[in-house]
Amino acid sequence: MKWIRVNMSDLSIKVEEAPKKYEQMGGRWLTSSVVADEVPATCHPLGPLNKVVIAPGILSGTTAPSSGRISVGTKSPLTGGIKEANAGAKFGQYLKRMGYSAIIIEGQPKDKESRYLLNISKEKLELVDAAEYRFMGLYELSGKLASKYGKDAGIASVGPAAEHLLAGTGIAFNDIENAPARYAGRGGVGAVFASKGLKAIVTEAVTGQAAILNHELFETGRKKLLAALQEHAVTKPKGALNTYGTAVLVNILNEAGALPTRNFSRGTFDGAKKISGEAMAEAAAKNPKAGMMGHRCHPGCVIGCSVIYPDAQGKSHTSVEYETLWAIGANCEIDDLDAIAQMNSMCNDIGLDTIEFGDAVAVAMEGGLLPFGDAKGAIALLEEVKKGSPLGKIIGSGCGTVGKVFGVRRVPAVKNQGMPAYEPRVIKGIGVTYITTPMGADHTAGYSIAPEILGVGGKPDPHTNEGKVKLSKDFQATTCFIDSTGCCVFTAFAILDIPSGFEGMVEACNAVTGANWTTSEAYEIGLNVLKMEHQYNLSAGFSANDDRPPEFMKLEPVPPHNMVWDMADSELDSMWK
Amino acid sequence: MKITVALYAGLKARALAPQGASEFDLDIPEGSKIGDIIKLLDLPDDEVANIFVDRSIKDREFIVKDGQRVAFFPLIAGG
Repeated sequence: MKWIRVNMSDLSIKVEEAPKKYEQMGGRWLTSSVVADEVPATCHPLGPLNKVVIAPGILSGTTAPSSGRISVGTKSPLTGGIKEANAGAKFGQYLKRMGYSAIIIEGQPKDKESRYLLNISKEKLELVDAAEYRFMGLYELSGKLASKYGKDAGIASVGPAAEHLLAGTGIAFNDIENAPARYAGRGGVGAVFASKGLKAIVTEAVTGQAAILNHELFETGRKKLLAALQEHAVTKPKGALNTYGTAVLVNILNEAGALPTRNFSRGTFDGAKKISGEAMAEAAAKNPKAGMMGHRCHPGCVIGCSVIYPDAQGKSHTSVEYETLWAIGANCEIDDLDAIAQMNSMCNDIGLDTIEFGDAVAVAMEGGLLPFGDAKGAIALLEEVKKGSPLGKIIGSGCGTVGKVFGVRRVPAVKNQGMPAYEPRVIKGIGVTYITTPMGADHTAGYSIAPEILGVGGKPDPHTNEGKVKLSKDFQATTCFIDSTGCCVFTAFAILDIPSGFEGMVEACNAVTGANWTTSEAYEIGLNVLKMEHQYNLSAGFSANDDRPPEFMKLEPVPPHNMVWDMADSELDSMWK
Repeated sequence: MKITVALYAGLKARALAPQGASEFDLDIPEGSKIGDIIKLLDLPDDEVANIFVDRSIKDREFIVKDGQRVAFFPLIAGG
């Protein structure tokens, strides 16, 4: 296995043979392992000792379906713990086809104003002066880089908010049409990338297939995974994700009384239908020139859950996702789909994580900075973030910072990371995931919503605590493995109900790595990654007291179910025993 | 007795809903089960995957009461 090591202190680039222990790793397994091995747990996240590790998954760059995820690992400036965030993009597919399994960015230039671009092609690796792109919005940057490096090149870039080193920022990967819309969004990975003096990384467009050791086994595995994805009602062509996008969830979470509304003070939103996947599908059908359902984030995705939403002026917005519609919509009591889409595009442009931004604005609304429902006021705040004004910096630092500045006690965060779009007092399993994942509140870490609300992979009662630690643990461990394969986490919906799909995924991984894993061993690999991440956080100074919900969730019943968080702390602690 | 019905994610096009509405009031006999309402609306039974009554998950055997809100979904997911 080869990786690229870039030292931003002396601007050196080396191609190294990775030590043998990393040989079979990819994606999150690889990023978390390198962070655990090379980044001192107590270092400052924005200092020279932190590193950014970018790794495509084991299957990325192959023809395995929906396998184009790219992982970014670092020590998070938002949580202070280990972080992995991933996105679906052609960037990592190209990297893997060039024979590189990771990029490790370390050090820091002395001149904080300097900016560089890392150009990775088959012919050469080079750091190029990028001063001209300093504080440039990412739509403009994508256009300029496409002109210079080709429209099909892969791009990873950070926006002005990340250059202001704000903890609520991500790294944008460009999509097939070159929009900077696929985000490794959470935990401030954008700020760490920017702290290295990097504005962008470009990968040359490379066709073909990444290296495979056993082609026959790969084909067997690929076909089994593909069959499961094409058969399951959720992931199949013209299935729910393909037809309505991820925002098909808005109405079901609202009907479940678990759509966090008005800064987590209610579980239902009167404007839910206006910001739903059904509403976007209707708009896209009316204006097919500007809108599209079933859009794909990377070549080879067979699910196609991305959405290009056309606003009333005919402007296209890629991609308007459930979490964004919830965070900026229901959580801020904004029911104007066009305004949310506009803010989504602004977040893409300046480099903000839409979940953390929505949580931050909702807390600011509670603190009296602006009224709930004030879309214009929220847009004005995004302009402040872009400028880097003191108020903008507060908003861009996440909901925890906003809560402290405005004296708000109802801050929906764990490990200082804002909660996503599911009310944990009502859906207990996802609460366990938010609270215990080493990532800080993160739904993708262990998506127990699938069985608890959607009836995928079982049907446990969402309102009860019984069995939820085990449920979350199983989801978290399996997700760690899937995040290491490069497969989209949405493949889980199919393989939860169709076991041969998971067998196929593992067989394809065996064909690439030369391993001989069973599905049980794949689970164990994921569990060990999870434990390693937890251990890193302990070394960084975390304790069991960081695996706790915000206090208000124990004290304030949330209507309409009027439930509180009532799981014993000792039960949460059993996650790691 | 009267209940409110909500149909999501394409189910309205598959049901005997008034003028293709996604949400409407419906008169049903006392003692009706969810399964009876699915038949009454001519919903594709094998496609109805998740049912909520007044914000809680219920199954086809649940007997609906006057004034309740019943929401039907096919198998969906996201995140």
